[in-house]
Amino acid sequence: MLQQFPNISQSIADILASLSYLQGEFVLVVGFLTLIIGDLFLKKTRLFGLLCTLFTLFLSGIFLVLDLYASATATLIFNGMLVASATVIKFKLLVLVITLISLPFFYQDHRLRQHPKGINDFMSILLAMEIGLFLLIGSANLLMLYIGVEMISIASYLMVAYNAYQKDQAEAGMKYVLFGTVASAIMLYGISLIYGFTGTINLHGGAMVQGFEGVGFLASSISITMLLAGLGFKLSAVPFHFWTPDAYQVAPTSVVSFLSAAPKIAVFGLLYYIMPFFQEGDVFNQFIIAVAIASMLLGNIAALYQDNAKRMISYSAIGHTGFMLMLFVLPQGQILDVLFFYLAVYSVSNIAVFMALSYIENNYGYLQISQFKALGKQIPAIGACLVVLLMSLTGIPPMAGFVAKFLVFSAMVNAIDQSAVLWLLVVAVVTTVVSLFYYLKIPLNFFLKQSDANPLPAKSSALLAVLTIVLTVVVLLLGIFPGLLGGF
Amino acid sequence: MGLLSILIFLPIVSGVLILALPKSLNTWYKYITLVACAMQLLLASYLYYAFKTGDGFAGVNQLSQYQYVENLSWIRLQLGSLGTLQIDYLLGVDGFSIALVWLSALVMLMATLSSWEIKTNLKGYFSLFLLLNASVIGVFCALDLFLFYVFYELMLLPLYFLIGMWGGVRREYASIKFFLYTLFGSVFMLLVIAGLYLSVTDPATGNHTFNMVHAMNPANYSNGAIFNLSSGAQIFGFPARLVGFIVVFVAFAIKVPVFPFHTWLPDAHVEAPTPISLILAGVLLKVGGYGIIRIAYGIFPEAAVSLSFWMGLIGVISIIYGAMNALAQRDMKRLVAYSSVSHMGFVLLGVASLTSEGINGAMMQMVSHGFLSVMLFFIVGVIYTRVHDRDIYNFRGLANHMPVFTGFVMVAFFASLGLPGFSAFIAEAFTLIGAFSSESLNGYVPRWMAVLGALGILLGAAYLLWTLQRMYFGKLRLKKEEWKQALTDVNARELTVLIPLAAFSLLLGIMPSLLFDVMQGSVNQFITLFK
Repeated sequence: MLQQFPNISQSIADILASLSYLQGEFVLVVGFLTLIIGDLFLKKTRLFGLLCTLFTLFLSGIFLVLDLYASATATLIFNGMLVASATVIKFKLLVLVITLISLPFFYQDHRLRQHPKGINDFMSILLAMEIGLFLLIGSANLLMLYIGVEMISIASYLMVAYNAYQKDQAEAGMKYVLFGTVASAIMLYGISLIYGFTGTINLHGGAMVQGFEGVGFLASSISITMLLAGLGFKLSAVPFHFWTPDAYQVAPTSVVSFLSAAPKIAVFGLLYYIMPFFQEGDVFNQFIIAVAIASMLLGNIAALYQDNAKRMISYSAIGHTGFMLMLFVLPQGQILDVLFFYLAVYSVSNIAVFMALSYIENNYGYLQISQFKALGKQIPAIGACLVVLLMSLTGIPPMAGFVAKFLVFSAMVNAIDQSAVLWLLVVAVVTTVVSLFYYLKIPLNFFLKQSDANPLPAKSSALLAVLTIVLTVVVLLLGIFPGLLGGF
Repeated sequence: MGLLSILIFLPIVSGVLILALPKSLNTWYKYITLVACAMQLLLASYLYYAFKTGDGFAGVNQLSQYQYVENLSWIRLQLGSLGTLQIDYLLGVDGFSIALVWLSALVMLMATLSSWEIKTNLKGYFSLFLLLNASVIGVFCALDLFLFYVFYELMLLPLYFLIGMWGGVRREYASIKFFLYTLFGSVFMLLVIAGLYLSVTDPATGNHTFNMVHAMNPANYSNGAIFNLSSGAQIFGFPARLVGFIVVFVAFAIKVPVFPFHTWLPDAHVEAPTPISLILAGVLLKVGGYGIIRIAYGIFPEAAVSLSFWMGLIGVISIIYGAMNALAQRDMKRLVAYSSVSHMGFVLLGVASLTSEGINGAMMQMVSHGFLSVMLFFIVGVIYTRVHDRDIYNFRGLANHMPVFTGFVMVAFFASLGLPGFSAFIAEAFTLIGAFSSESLNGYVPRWMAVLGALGILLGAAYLLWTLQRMYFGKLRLKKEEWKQALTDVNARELTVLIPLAAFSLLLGIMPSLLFDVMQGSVNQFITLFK
């Protein structure tokens, strides 16, 4: 113990130097505390929660942008617990933008607004989750990674079950918690194995890679697989996807929309950072290939049989996860821009689809696709937006989803001499065609089917419709001018 | 803004105008569309008229020889180690495309005239129609593979809705089937396009490029790239370029369609409203033929040569199989749809022969089939709009009841079966000459295929004449008594569609040089790719 003491001053110096890298996170912490404490005194003032959250997110975003221009090289901070680099900041910014887009959505969600304690508590959970997402993206240490995953998990359990008063809602929330806890436990066990085998939980520095080489194939496979299983749960990749459809179906739509985008970005951001440390052996690649193929096949095929719109989108989300996972068999240097573009476009399209679905739900109370018959006559603009967005998710030009899909294909074709890439591509193409079939079900019911029912729309604010249209225009613009997306 | 861009964006602007006009003006929509399409045809005619021919204007694999070229840099994406994604807005036409651009403009105008029968949701119909129009013209003008693909896929969505919303009873099934078939081929093609992009470099800038003209020159392929001729790369144990050719060929073969990828066509045609059938048969099938010539054959010539026997065989099977199926149909529209499969088989046979006659014949067949299939579908549409029935056996002796109409039916039928004096005769004769001489010239296609192709013409005569006899000759006998009043003779609007189509078919039959002169240079240049 005693010989550790001389390092203390050095450690403290490192921590002090590191503080400046985390301004974005500190702002979030301050905002989170302000919101919780303020809410105690300003009972049920919706405006306060909104302004506080909005201000916190914006300020955090400003710091991130400033950091983006300041930090050119990757730096390890807090004694190697976190990493700060331009890439990390880009992923954080993407998460932040997605959160900002989701913010008005939360406020439009009837189920969140009807909560007896108001929506302010929800906003504080959101800010806490944001911190978790940021920490996960930046983690350079397995312990930090675990803390990040847990912060996200706990926040999302709360969000999914925020007003689960009905039986099936409580069931889905419970399922989610149980699966999540088991996944975390497995991941933690994997981390402890890794620590036992390699003697380190620091990802960087090469000690872990060397350690894996020393312990043999079986030991390293088991520990890496367990670690990835925990991440796979957060990505809702097959076979860790069981919670997704149920949770998506019963959770408030705005929450589903957020959870289908933000945690995915964070986990992919993390996976992007850690991939070179695990790619040495075959295990990582084989795990990715198996999970990617299984996710694409199962997600897209199961989506064919869904009538609940949210459930269908949740299965399609599994398919998209598989599609993005394909990229991780390539070397790290080749995938960043492609992955980032795909994530951004996918998240925006997905959120816009959920907004449109929520608008329909608020106005007509329809949840099933078969109920959408002839709605195109009532709300043609939303129908047209849905066509554009769903075709973007399929990957039809001139929508942004097409460019994203093409970039992934190009990156994969570039590495076609890897034997698995070809099979991945074949599965990706076939499932793309399959996905068209179920995505088209919504336009089919909207425009092609006839209906005698003449539903009377309930009065609902048009904000969601406006947001949907704006995001649809963004998707179209990004499809025609993909260079508009910053970072390129 | 160049002339080709105007040709492409005129319909889009008109479509936006239609969307912006209030619903109370919905009688204007068709006139706006009509004006847009008429202006488009005028412009296309001017382009055709001013098109320069001769040695210096062959095009094909010479970018400098293309005409009306427009080149704007469109997308530049920095992609880390993948380099810069360079996508250009590159338009241009040569002898192959100018004829099809003009044909598209003509068919679009005819389809607009035929759209008078559409009564519901006019705003949606005409805006989608114009979007389809723009993307079709775009496909024929694009020289950048990415741009080509964007236009190619952009056709699908409007068509899905045009068939699905204004179609017949089984329209949902037909429209999704059409969409899935086409997408299946084209997403695989997207992989090949990605591969080509990564293989081809722009000789001027050194960047990777989607330029399809550069892709036709083996010198532009970087060393060791997957589609480089000498790299010897393999996909699933087959040479990469062979796989690339097959994938691209299948994508377009679905579109043409040739046996065995044709099963979407009868459904789509039968369910589509008449104007959309006209566009499907008149233009969209040609997109397939054009793609096979320009992309599959143009970019992978040595793979095409090695498979030319199979190409010819598929062509011949399509000719015979389409004709036999047509013989067996009771539904007039299905009959015409299968006759399209048969006639488009000649295109493939002609191209497979890789002789000057064969390719000229194939192009002539595409243009000629453009006129004649539009006429045939329009004829079916004339009867269908009047009585909502298409069963051949429900009609008899129409000749006395609708004499003018029957006159045009006879022109269309005789022209389609290859009567000398009409364009189809020239087209089929040249195709068969090409196929027949191939064995002695280059040995790509055996003689018996030409013989079987000629048999297809005979079968064509059989189903057309038999239909003529069953429906139009004899004593008037209809399924229902009230049809007698409903089946009035053709009106002025219908005449404005039928007369020009018949006239153009006759004109090309008598003066095929009108088309051959324009194509000659390009065809000769095209053949040099295979030497």
